[in-house]
Amino acid sequence: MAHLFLDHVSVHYDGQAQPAVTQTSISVRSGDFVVLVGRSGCGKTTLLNAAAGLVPPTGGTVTVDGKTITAPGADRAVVFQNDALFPWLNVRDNVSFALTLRGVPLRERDAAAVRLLERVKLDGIGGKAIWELSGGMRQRIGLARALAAEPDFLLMDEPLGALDALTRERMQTLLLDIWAANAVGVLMVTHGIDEALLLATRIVVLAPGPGRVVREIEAGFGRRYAGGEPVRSIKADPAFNQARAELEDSILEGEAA
Amino acid sequence: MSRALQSIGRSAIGWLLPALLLVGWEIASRAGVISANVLPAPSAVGAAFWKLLLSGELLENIRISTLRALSGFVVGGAIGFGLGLANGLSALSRGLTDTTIQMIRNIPHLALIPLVILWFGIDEEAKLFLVALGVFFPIYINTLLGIQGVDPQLVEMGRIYGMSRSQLFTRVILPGALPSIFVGLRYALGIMWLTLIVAETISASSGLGYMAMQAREFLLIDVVVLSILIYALLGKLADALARSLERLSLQWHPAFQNV
Repeated sequence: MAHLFLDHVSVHYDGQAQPAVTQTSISVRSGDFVVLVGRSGCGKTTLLNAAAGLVPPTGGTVTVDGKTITAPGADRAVVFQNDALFPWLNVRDNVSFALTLRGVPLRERDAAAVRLLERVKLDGIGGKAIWELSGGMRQRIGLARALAAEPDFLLMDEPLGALDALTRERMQTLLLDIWAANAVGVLMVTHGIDEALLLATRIVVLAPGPGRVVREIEAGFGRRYAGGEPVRSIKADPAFNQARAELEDSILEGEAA
Repeated sequence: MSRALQSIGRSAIGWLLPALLLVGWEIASRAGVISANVLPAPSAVGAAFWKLLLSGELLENIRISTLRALSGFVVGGAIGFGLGLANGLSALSRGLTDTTIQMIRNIPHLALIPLVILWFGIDEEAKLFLVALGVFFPIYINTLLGIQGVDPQLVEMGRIYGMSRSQLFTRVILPGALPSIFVGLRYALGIMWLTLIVAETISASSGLGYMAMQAREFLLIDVVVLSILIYALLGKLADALARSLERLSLQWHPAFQNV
């Protein structure tokens, strides 16, 4: 059971009047699906990058299982809003990229790519070039690539932000499927309130100026989906609407404060 | 099969216009519309070609010119590529050299011919120097632009995967910069021929440019025209080579698909 912990993390970028985030603690364990919400400028992406090891905290520490991390590592895979696939590699080679760097032999790599593509429901397109694919497919390939290294944590920065509504809904259930099947800890940034409610086991509401946590909300709708309940019935549940109102209020409160 | 034929047809269509021009030119010459002292008929140029081919003079001159062009290209291209890489990857190197390079770039390199003749005489070094200088800039600038234009998010992805600097370079930066580097390469090939021909025309004792100048002295206008046609063919050949190389290494790029 791995534990990613942002312990009173502050990040103050050079030349900025106030810190991007201050004294923020977030804990993600295997099996957690933690979603960061809050209006623009509240430091969501900064926190995610700090967890990835891309941005060094100027205060506090980021630890994995108690060890302070200072650089990106294979235990924490990252998915950006922009898919950031390598356009000069085909789908298969993109997916198995992490394995190539580790020197895994070609045959094993290709077998792994086939398995990973099945997991994101894109079988049989390994030979295609990246430019041939739609945005939704690219994002799924980015997800498959992230899973290739068998990370303990998936860090996702608005992974569905650039997708159309229908594709987005399908991707949400795919994310839940992958999360439920892989026992990973997920830390995800989103702007979608429904998305946060549907996916998260815990929602962290942040407020800007400087970025900080204003509230943490436990949610269980994603677990209900993983338990077999269809999304439509979850969203029709009055509890879902009530939770949404509550979440919206906390985001607005954060703004007013 | 039909696809192969189609592709042959597509490349053949580009040769239609040059062929028609040749035919029209021949007819006009035979009808006496174009005087042979102004422009000899294609058949006369063909005869000159045959004569020079049999004497071995033509092939020898083409060989010498090609060798010069390529050695200048290799020297200038290697320096341009190396500096482009260095300046693309290191802000210190860029700060140190870019201003100087931009100043030199704005001098037309052919304007250096008098100086180059004073330095090197009309020996091989003069041609090599001029071609290398001419080729340097397009390769340098496009390599630099290519590296600076690599999607920063891809570089970030590379860091997330824990790539070493050399892995980052060979697996992310170089492939990302390649389309731009090829633009520089094609442009440089054009400059390579241009520079060499001018240099050979002004100062040489062998090569295609020299052959044309000698022919002018003896009023062999068919040989002059032949030389010019050969420049056109060699230029086209170099470009075609660069394009096929480009096509081969940029198969992933949507602009290079045979759609």
